[in-house]
Amino acid sequence: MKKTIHNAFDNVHTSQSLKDSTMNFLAQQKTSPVQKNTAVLRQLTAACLTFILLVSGLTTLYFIPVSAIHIDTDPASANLKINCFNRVVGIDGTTKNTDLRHMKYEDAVSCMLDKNDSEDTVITVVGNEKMLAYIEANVPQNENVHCGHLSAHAAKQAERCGMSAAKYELYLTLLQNGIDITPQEAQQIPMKTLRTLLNTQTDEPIPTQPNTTVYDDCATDTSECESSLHHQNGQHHGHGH
Amino acid sequence: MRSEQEIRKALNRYADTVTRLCMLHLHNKQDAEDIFQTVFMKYMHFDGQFENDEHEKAWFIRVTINACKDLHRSFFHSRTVSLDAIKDCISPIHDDYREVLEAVLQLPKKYRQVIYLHYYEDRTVPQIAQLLGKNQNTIYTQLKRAKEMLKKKLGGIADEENHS
Repeated sequence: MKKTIHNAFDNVHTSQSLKDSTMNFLAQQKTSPVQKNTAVLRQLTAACLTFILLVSGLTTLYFIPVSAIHIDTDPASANLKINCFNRVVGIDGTTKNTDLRHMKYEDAVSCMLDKNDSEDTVITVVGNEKMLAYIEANVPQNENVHCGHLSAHAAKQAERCGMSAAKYELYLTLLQNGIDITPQEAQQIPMKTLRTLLNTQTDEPIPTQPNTTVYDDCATDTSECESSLHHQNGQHHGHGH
Repeated sequence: MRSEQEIRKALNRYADTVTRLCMLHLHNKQDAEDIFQTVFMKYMHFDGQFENDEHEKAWFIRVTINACKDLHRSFFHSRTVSLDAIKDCISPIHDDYREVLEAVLQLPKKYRQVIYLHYYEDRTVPQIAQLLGKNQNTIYTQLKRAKEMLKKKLGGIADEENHS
């Protein structure tokens, strides 16, 4: 049987046409630069796409604000939008300081305070308590500068009520201390007057030791602003007397 | 990349081996042509060195079987093969051998290749086991069963050979 099978297989030969077509096919593969470089081209394309995706992803991430620092200096105010790399990616408000973009928030705040000659400055950090701790530890220690913290929810509520974060924080403190005031009234009154009102009402200065007041407020309209205060921890604080 | 001269030499030397393996596994002219061209294209791009002709031939056998296996993974491929299906790829076959080849092609695929490698390529069971990446005992069993099945199919022809 071995001989039979061997002879049978030995009788099988490749047709000349298949050999010729294969030689033509291989010659084509060899000379065609497109074919030759297809694999390299694919790898290069994949690498480029990955790079583009990475860069666009990082760029998008860079420009997404995750926290904010409101600096209120009657009459001007600034809202610094801070990204996850602690850099300023947007500035709102009435400040003329537009060269703060891409600066680290520490430098941006210093820059703002250096150029500030207001008698009453309120710095309100939204979202990131580490920033508040840094600012409290580094801003000039005087009675004109007050620091506070608002949760992201409370900051949104301030926006709905049409007030700056600092004013909204002060407004909530007034409510907390039993002062009957509407958001509309608070909007009209300057910060300094509101603070004086608070000091008069409480008969004592605002505490000098920094502590944190977190307002986690999510009321939907201005009429709810007054009733939706949720005092979580401590009271309003500031530097100075 | 290998030169045209090297490819032509390999084509003259191993084309029949590749064609016979394609015949054992494939069911139509198009598949056989594709595999044939794929195997020689892989050879063209293969930068490794062969120790000797035997090593080179083993490379062609292994690459062809693997290429056929890859094609077979497609579930719509039928399981049986016939000479007519790939007649354009091979030279005309003498009628004396047609019956034997058809009998081999009627065997299950795993038996076809061990019969070919053992009877035509003169490979031992350990060599076949290494080429196909299978256990030696499995190859022994497959070879034994394949022989029995072929004896049944080729009763008259096998007996004639035994007597002669």
